Amino acid sequence: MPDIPGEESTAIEVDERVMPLAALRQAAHEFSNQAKIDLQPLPDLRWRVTFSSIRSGSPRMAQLFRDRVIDIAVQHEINERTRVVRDALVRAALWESLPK
Amino acid sequence: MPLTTERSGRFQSATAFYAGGRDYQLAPFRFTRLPSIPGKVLLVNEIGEFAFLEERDFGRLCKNELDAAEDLYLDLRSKHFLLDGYASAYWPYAVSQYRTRKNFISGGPALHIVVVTLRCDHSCPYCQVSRQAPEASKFDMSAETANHVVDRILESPANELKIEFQGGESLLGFERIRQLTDALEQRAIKSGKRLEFVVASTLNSLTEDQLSFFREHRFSLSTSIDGPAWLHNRNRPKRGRNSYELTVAGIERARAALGHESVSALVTLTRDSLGHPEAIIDTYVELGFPSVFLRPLSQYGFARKTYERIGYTQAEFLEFYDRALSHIVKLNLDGIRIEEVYAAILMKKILTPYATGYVDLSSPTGAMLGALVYNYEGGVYASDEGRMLAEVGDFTFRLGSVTQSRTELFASATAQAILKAGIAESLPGCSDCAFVPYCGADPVGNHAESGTLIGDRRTSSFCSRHTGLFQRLFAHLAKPDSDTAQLLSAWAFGKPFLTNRDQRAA
Repeated sequence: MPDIPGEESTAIEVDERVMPLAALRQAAHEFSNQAKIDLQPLPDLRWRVTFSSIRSGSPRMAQLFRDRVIDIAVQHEINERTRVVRDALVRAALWESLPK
Repeated sequence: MPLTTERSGRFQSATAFYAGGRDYQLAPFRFTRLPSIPGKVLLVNEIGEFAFLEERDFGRLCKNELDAAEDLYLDLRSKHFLLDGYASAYWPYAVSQYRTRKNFISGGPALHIVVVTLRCDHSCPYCQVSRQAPEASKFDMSAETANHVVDRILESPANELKIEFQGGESLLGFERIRQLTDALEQRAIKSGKRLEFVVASTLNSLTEDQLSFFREHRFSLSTSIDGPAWLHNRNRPKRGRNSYELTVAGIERARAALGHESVSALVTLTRDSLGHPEAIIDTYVELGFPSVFLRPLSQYGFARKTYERIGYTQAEFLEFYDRALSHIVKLNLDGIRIEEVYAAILMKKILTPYATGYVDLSSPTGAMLGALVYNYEGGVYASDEGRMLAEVGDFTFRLGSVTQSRTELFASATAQAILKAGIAESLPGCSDCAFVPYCGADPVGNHAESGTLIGDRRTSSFCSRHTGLFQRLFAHLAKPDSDTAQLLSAWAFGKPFLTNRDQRAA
């Protein structure tokens, strides 16, 4: 995923098949108080992520952003794989604590 | 697979007991990376157990590439991060642990804060209430309101109730304290509830009559010591500029009358405090306190007006905290027992499933569920911070009036809104946070900062502070044999701390 440097901004392109859109959007939200972030759809399930007005003291933003998208995507997958167990656990635990 | 032996009497090999090489499921967990430990991933499961993995092993775990014969596999299974043929043992354990963590919900609010007066003789810049002159008696709780407060407190289903009297300067409303204490004790006998009384006061104007009353009813006293005299008096100005001296004298008199352990102190940290963590802690040691609670300033109510002058960022607070904790560890290694309460609370949440009683860090929120506040004017508030917001005209967290029953108060639209925003596991930014099993929801703080009860984790001071604290504590726990990790663990379990040196000597 190449960096596409601009004058007062930086941008990366990501593949939705590698970095799911939901993870991309969540990461964009998380980083949106550090920079202005634009998500622009490109052909073939690709997206351009442009960072502008980057707050000083936020170096390596593109790299950090990429890493964060991957982590979010992994967490989403873990959540999906364990959803049934988690939901059942919470229900069972709270049900047992209700007064009988 | 049950433990069996072959006919010859020899045990089967270890692999005979495993469900299959890579045939495992993941149990629910979240993960994060600590800035101070690159290359490692911290996993925390739904019931609060944790594990550190190398990056590569984390990938293997998620891709079902761990082999059942590996030590790592056995470790993660024992800590309930993966489920295999032995999963039947997981279920009752996990349910029990989760229920224990959330058990405080069923007890009802156990902490009841009663604001008997707004009158005060101090002018602390960080005060969050609209303190009134000592002679302004119209800001005292009326006897009639107090009678209703008794009704409300005893409606709580909790069997053990802590009643904390606050102000202003609560001792200026001593007659109301007396009325409430007598009434609560008389009626609690019939209901079988156990009561614990606390008075929050500067102790500057403590009288013998008051001490005698407190001794009779087994009160605890909570006061403020902001650090050495020069810092305390700067933070807490009053006529005579001798707040520290009077407070210390009050502490000594209270200890003589009620016992050494009956008096506790809290520190309020202002910008002036940040450069002097060691001096603040040394003051607490010199005054004989076994613990110090290092919490940052909050900017509720009237404190907002002075926050620009005396406030600081969470990053600045965490820098102060690092120095303070380092000093506390050094003191303990030198044989001076002093505990940092914030760390102790967080460590207890990390290492045990048990309630800490700290209503400011719980999910569901401690506001309303863990504590209720009865203001001098008869309003009932979900938290002390909610009451402070009311002092500047924001009644978002006013549940109702003391004349309304508990059922009415908890059925109010305000109560419902707090509950909806009060479960961290369902909040954006929290639901996938590795620290959520230990953390809490802060609808009052969210509202004060962002205008919404749900809040914005990007800018939440509650989030940045607790993330920073958890990162620091886990960085220590990653080195479990270190003195700091041993000390933190001792605090979690309420056990004496033995340095590695002590243990070697023994």
